[in-house]
Amino acid sequence: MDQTARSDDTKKNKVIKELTGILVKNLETDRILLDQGREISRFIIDREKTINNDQDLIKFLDEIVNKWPIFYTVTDNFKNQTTIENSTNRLKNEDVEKIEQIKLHLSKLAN
Amino acid sequence: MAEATGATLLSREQTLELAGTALEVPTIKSSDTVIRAAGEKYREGDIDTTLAIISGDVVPHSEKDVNKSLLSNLSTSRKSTGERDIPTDIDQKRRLREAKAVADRTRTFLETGTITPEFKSQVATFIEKNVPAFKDLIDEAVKNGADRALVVDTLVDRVIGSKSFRDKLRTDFTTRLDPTKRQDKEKDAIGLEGELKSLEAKLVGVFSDKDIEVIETEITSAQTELTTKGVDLADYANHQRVLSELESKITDLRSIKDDAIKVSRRDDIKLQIEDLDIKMASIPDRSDPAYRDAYNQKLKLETREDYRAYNDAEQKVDRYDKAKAYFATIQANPDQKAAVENYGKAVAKLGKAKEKSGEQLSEAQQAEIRVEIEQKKIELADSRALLEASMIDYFRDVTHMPEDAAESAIQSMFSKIRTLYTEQSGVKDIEDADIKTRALAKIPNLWKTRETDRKSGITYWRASRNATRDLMNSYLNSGVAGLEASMIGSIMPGGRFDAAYLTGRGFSAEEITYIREQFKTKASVSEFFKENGDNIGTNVVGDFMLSGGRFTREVIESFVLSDSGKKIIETAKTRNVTARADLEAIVGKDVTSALDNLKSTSGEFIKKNWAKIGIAILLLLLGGGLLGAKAS
Repeated sequence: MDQTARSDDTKKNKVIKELTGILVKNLETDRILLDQGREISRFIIDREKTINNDQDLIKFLDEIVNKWPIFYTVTDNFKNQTTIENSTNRLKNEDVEKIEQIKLHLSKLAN
Repeated sequence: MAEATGATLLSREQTLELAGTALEVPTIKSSDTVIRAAGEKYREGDIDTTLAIISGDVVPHSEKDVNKSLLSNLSTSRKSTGERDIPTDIDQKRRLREAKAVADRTRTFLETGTITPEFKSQVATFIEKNVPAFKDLIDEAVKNGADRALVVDTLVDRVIGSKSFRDKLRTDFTTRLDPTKRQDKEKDAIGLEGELKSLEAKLVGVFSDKDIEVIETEITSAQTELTTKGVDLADYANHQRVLSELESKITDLRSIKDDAIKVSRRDDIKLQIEDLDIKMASIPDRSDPAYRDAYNQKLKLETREDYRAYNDAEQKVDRYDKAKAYFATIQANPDQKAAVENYGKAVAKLGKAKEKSGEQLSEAQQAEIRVEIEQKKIELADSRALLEASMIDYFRDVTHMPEDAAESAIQSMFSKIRTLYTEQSGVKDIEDADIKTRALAKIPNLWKTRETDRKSGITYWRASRNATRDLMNSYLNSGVAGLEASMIGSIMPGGRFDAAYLTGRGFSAEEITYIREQFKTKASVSEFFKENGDNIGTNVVGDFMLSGGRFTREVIESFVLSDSGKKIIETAKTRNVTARADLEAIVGKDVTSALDNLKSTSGEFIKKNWAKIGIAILLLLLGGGLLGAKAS
């Protein structure tokens, strides 16, 4: 298993755990009935197997929140986090590129 | 099924009210146990099991939990530590073994979908013998040439394969085998046992006057026995007294008696006394001063302390030795020995009894305690009987899980018959429906009575078998017009509904206004039945079956020969196209062909094959695996 896959699995497990926590809490506080809980858990179990990367995960979260809005916090958090991660990565890449350009420039000056 | 959104969820009461019956609503009493178990697993960090428990893939109680529950509820045996133990009682042992077998095969079915032959056979026996709608029909169809095994097997597969069967089984497994469940009645029995022991302990060693009388009688008999065996009671008592008196002193007394100096001194004094006696005898005149002097000397010697002490010791030792010899003689005679021992025991018993009765409870207090003991014994016997009954109830609940699930599934299938028309009309969410639809949904309440389930306490509408049979006959034989006449005649005497009557049948004020409007004139009533008669008629048929109605020859003939019956069969057929092959295998192609061509089916064929036709109609109505949605 490569690094990306491991990272995706960690994210997926974290999301599933958060969803399950919300499901249990809502069942325990009678905000949803067990029959509905069954449907939700069945959906999570079935769909979990098809999630292989961030895109799958976002698609899954969109589907679940459309069906059961009680999960909106998980979806929103995940999307926000993904956005931040992407921005950070982009900034890091831009910085590396700039440093390389400066190095090249300095080396030209030295020669 | 309406898409679940997390909002607009009906309460259980609302659902029951709108459904018109509690039977089609799966009880969710198990939800607490499932949710509790899921919550525990979640907090342990086991997400997979949490989801599996909620989804129903895994039942919430482990095998160990179930065994604990079975032992707690079916065994009264306990280890020395107080923990529950395998029962020693034969009946309890058998119940435990049988309940465990059913629990194991039920778990296997719920968790893996595996249907063991024993599991299937349990449901088959129930369907074949205990479902009124099936029982006669299966027997008659077999006489008509149908294959019993195939008919039963098909019905069993449809029942076991239904979602309602699985749901009910999961619910029952969860609630009935809850490891926290205990026999409440046992506490009462244990409490009473403790109270009884404590009361009995108060009377241990206590003798009543009656007890003392009994012991005294024993003593009299022992005395008689002594005499018979040649032991004089007075002698015996004297010797006994001597022994008792001297036992502790005999060593000192014997040392005085055997002391040589003391013996010599005593002998010396004795000789002096004898000499004085001789002297006194030689003086005839007792007034003679010599006589008086001898007398005084003798008296002085006789009253000397050492002399008296020695004589006393000698006499006592002799008496003691004689007593010992007396008892040695008795000991040497077995009869006398036994008689003496019996006498001794009886006397000792009496002494102890008198001592105890003096220091303990009064007669009145003892009598009071004895009455209380008798009352506790009766209470304990009742309590044990209740415990036994409660254990048998639990045993029944566990071993009948498959039968109860089958019954629930069949009822659920029957109730679906009522939707043959309503589903076609597109009304799905009754709570969002208009007044007319809501009022129509409550029409079946008119032939039902409101009842409360003894066990669960849930109130529901129960259809009257007689009322539904009469209405169904009218509908099948004379169509919508017949149903209208029959309803006006029996359900709405005088063709009028008053508000109180309808309120009592669960109608709201708005619905009452609507219904009364429809029944205002003869023409409006006819119009109402023309529009809704088939819908109401199908409800009647479904409720007839739900109420335990049987499919008799007359009912089957009415179905096939009447327009109303044909309509129902046609509707059911259109919804069972894929079950056609199954149906043919069970009842034969001639019967399915006859049902395809109802108009041209001859009366003779119907009479000859009524039971097989009945099976076919029943299977069509039950959905042939279609109306009763398959478990996912």
